[in-house]
Amino acid sequence: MLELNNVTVTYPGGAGSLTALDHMDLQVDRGELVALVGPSGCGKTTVLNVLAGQVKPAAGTVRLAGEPVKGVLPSVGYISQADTLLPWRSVLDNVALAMELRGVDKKTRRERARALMAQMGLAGFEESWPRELSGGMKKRAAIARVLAVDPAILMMDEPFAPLDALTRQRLQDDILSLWETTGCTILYVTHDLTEAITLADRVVLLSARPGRVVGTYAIDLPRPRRVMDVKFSPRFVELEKTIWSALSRELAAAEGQP
Amino acid sequence: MRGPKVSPGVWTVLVLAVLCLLWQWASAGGQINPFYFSSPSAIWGSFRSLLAAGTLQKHFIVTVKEAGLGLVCGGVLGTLAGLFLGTHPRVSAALMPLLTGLNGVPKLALGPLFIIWLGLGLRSKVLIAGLMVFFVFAFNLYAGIRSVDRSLVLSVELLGATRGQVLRKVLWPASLPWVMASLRTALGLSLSGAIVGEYLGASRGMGWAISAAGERYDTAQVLCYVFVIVVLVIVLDCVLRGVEKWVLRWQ
Repeated sequence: MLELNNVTVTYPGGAGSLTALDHMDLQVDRGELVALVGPSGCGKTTVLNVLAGQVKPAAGTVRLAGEPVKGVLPSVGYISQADTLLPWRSVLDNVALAMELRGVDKKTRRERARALMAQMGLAGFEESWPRELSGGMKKRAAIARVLAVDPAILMMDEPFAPLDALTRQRLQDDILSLWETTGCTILYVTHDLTEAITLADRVVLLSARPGRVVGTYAIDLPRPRRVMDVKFSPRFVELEKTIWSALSRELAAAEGQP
Repeated sequence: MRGPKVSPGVWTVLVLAVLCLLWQWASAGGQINPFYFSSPSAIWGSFRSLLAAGTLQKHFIVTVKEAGLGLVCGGVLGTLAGLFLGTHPRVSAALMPLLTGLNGVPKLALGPLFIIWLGLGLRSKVLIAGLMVFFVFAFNLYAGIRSVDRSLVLSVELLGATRGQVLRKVLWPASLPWVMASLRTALGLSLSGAIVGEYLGASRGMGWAISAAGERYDTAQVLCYVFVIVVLVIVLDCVLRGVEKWVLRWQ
């Protein structure tokens, strides 16, 4: 489905260039939920930017469904941690935005947006302004906006990082049930190991800068999952311990960097 | 100090009324010379006679037309210039110092030149008013575009928006607060541009009427026109504030 082969990304800097990704390989299969974890500054977001066609790799190939990636892909749904609803549009018109950009007629896109909002638990807030929504509701609306055009793959870049713990947990449950019901492919970037294990089929651990894959861990927790149920299972604790020891080595290495 | 709630508009009128009464009393009692300072009753008298003769309406329409056309032309061109400069960093890097320099030139000082070029009529006043307004819009919109949240633009680009769509659906609505702020500043500027333009050379308009009345030492008439202008600006500003409230209701 999604493939990075030998990808190297360098950013030009003042004193020489900065290598963000170093010969990185990553593969995400159709319908898979993969979490990308690593110390901050390890190039997690760079991976997403490469996949979204925002950053051109210096070497290596990036393919989506067999096709090389160049430029922004309409089939990729991108959700960042920033609040990106347009404040001058009603929530409904925000959810309908991606369809509007693609020229879907007004009636169809409003109907679809209404249905999606209901699905995301936002019914009744169609005509509200984004400022009237809570942080969690804004996030849901942003997810609905992306889902509206049936993306082949969802890329989430620490989407719930700015939210409080309770809201975050509810949204994680939402992502789980969304993924279980739609069978979409998700690449989820986070620095939160607990979140990664809770959600993913596979946790990919990146090294400190320059980013490389240092380990891949299959998460064999049973599905369907609920955040509260998995959290206390012995297998969860075991997995967390294993990955944490590897991650803490990378964190120590990251601290040694300027 | 908590009395019954009174809207600020009532206070404005009250203050004005008290000042008028004091003025009337002082000029009637000889504390100030009505020849130089006129009096509210004389101004009112001159207002009524100008209205009856139709002179006031004639000059009023001329000035409003000049200022309005200047506001529209200068506003539209200034907005387009600001949008263009804000979205083309290289062009703006080259042109902004030039524009800043040009803005420093007192536009009214160029008035005589414009009258030589375009004559005593409407067009020279529209140019003066428009030019004053142009820079307000151009600089404000430039700043507005530059201050748009980058993550908003990026997220819409990632949804597959074209450059034109980003401009129409993100950059333009995001700069609307700046357009509204420009409009309110420009309102007074365009009127003073037109009026001073008439001062410099015209045969009609409130600016011309003020200067003609001044030459006759008719202080009541001068102040009558001044009051008409003040009231006009207050009314238009109120209307604009209402429009702004509606346009920016999402804030």
